[in-house]
Amino acid sequence: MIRARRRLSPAAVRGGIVTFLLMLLTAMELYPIFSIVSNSFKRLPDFFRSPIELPRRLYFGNYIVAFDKLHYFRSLLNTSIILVFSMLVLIVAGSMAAFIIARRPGKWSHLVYLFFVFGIVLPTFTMLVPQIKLIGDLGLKNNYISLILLYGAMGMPMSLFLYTGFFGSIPRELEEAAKMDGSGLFQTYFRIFMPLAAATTTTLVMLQSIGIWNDFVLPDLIMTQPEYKTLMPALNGFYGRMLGQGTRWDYIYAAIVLCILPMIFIFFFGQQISNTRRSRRSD
Amino acid sequence: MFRTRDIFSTIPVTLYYALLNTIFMNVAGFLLALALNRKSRFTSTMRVSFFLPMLIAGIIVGFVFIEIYSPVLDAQEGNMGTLNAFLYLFGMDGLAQNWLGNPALTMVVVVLTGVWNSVGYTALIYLANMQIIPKELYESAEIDGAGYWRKTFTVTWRMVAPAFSINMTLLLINSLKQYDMIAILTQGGPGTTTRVINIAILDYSVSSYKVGLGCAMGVVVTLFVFALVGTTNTMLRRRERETND
Repeated sequence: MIRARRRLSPAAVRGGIVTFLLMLLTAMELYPIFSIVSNSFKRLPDFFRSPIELPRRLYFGNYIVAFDKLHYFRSLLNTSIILVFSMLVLIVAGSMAAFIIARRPGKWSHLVYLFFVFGIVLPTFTMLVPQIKLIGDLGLKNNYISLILLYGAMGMPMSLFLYTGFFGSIPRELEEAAKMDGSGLFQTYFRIFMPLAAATTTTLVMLQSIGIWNDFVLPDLIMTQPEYKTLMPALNGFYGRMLGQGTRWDYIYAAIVLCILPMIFIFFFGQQISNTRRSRRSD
Repeated sequence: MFRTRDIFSTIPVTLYYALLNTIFMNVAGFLLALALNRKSRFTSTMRVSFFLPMLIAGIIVGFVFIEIYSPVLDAQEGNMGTLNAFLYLFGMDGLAQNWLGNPALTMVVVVLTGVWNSVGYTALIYLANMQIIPKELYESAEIDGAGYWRKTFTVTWRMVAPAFSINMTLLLINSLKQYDMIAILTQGGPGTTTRVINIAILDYSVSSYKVGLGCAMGVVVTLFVFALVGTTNTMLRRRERETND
């Protein structure tokens, strides 16, 4: 016993303490997420008795109600349509602009670059009122195009920033070699630069899709008709209806799980793709 | 008169939020990165677990933490929210309270909720910087007789100056962008203790149709962002240059 204690060096003790604290913090970090899932399977009286107890039996009734009241498929479809098309705008327009900015440097392209990157600093709420007014004047309320255009424009600074940084790092010889082989500007962009930028594209998609999926204020103000509601405003409306005497936390937690799940899928799928690509490259 | 007072009261609240958020996030993010920057079987799992909450939307964080912080869930029974239930479980009944109803505490609780949500991002930036610190620096510090904490403060902290600058800038910008979580958690209350400027902007321009006022306050936010980011960037750049010399 004494010998064992003597062998513990201060570094080992410190390592043990740090590991223990880290595990505690990790538990605190994960607990709310675990609690969402665990509480979504409880019946309401069980939840009220103790929100921290594990569910005795998995009860799926909450999900049926949440599924129905959220109009889950419709909201999910709306969010997905907006997400996919705004990502397309961001990838295509952003990378094309960045291609020219990075490969044809000059005073003008630098100015355009600065103008766009300035948008990273601009707070969302400064633009909010003019954006809503503009969308209203264009008659685009309750139209997918409105949000696709807005997200495309608001994500453009980040898209340009990432693509310009990457394209700027590609050696000039590559572009010249393509030119020697008779490749035009568009072909060089499509066949050489875009495939090389796959990692940048993945980063962009993962960064921006979190923001678009989780955005609440803009879709809530623009998509006012029920059949165009996206997930977050639908969830907010659902929460509002469930408040009151004896809030139906069981239904709310089930609805929250339904809203988080697709995002987690997208994220781990994206990570999987980038991992396999990385391992393939290193082979 | 009432209205002008309401507008001006949001500015110190916003700056207080930005200050607290920047400090808490930097301290927590740096310590977390320090802890994660070790070789252990668990670190990769832990990295994922600190990243996971960032996928959750601000309004969902708001809903979940309303339940977690609430003193009573249902008026008729003697039940309580998750945090208070845990305090009772560990015998710390004295600490149990209405976490979002205490004006002295609400802002800190809101900021800590934000830290829960996105400390992984700040830590990730620090971690990326820590992993490119050359090993020789630590070795020569060890030869000079520096202990663990000495090494942390003189080598690690100085070498992550670029990450510190990036984090300061991002955190200041994000603090002034924050809306969803605070609006759901407290709606600016109790009183006006957490009524940040973005809540007021949305109130004026959407609920009470004072669009001009909303726009003007939006411009004020932009000016704040530029002033804060500009000054901190100049200071940070000078600091980076000094540490490099």
